[in-house]
Amino acid sequence: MASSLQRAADMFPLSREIRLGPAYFYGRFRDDRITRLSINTLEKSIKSAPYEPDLWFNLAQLKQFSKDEVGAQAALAKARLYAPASAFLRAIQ
Amino acid sequence: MQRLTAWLTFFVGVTYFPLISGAATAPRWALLSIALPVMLLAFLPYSRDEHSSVSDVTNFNPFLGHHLAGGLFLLYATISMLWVEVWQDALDALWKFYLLAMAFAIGSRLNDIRHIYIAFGYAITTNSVVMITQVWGLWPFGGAGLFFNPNFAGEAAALAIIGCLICRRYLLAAFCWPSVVLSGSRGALLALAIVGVVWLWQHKRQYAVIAGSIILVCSPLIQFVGKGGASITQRLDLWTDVVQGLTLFGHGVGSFGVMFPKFATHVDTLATHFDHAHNDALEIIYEFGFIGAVLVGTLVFAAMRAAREAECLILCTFIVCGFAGFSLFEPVTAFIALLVAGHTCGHGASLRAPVDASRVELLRTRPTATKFQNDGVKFAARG
Repeated sequence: MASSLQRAADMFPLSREIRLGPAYFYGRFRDDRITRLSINTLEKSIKSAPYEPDLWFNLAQLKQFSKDEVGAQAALAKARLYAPASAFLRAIQ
Repeated sequence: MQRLTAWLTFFVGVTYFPLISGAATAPRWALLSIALPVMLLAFLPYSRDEHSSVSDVTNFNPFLGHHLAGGLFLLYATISMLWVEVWQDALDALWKFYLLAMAFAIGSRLNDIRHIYIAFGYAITTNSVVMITQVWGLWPFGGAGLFFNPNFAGEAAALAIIGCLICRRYLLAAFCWPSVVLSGSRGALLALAIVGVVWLWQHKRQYAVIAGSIILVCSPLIQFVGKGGASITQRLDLWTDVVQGLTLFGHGVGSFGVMFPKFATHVDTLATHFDHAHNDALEIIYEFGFIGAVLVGTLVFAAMRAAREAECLILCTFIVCGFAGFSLFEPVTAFIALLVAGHTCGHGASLRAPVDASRVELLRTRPTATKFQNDGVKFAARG
């Protein structure tokens, strides 16, 4: 399924929903076997949606899962920067 | 050309592929992306106006007013690609603006636009049937007919109703009503009410004052229609954040969806992603700055000034719908409005009109031209 989403994203880069499809797909999973791939996919997608707080938040979660605390805090700071009105982001550590 | 445009209008109104991303918008933009360039390149230069006189053709000047403003706006939108941060969204939005410009060009070539209104009325009638079946639970996908979002359905139906009323197709207009009512779109209801007042103002001013007063008094009740007052508060927060992000030159074409979270402080951008500002004027200023806004304003002003009463009502509906929605960025409403705007500005004259006029003049001054043409036809037939 991930490869299908990636193929669609490569074929239709002008559609935001399709382009960011793989990022949202990988952002939902916490699995040791694909953590590195998930982080790479999100970092690549963030280049075409640099102010998207949910992508930054998912990246923070994945980095925390891969024990990269510094990276996780940096990504979370970005998520908070682009969603200052989010009560959820204010509440979490 | 008119019949072809009417068929295209119908198909744009009913095209819908469920279960794909952008079920109601992506297929329609795709259809326009194929049909409009083909129509423009293959048919438009060779189509002739049967009803326009030579004086209409010779008086036409493509380098003044609306064509100049529209052309400059497209040029500015293209140049703004230089400072956008995400080229993919920018290219997508730019192509859509070019498509709308093509719709404008085709509209400017149409002598009679009533076929378009009627075809659009049939498309919205189809949508009404689908919406009614959805209410009865007979249709599996969503509750907004062929438009996915109820507001899109309501706004398109408002345009169709006005168009059908202009053509005196009252039954067709009545069939479009369920799309407005079942959508619960407050923007569409407001647009119809305001356009009704505008129409009354043109005919019976005292009735217009009474109707306007009633609408003004009843306007607080609008929060009880549709999604309620929560979405009104959300819109106000959204517009406050949009105003915070305005710049002189704008953020570039198609930049709103990308750049909005950077300046948003009132709206929870983690919970909701906004592709549009829900106000066409604000979004134009956000993306193209005040320069772009002046160019678009000039185009709108020129279209409204040139519009006859009927077209004026259609354009008013479109503008009012765009006050709390994004009808300029929706394929159906934008296509119809740009066709009508082109028609009001062009009245059947094409950008090739000066060339056509010189040819007509040439044929007039050379009486043997017809003979040469006939000889040419015979020669071609022999060959």
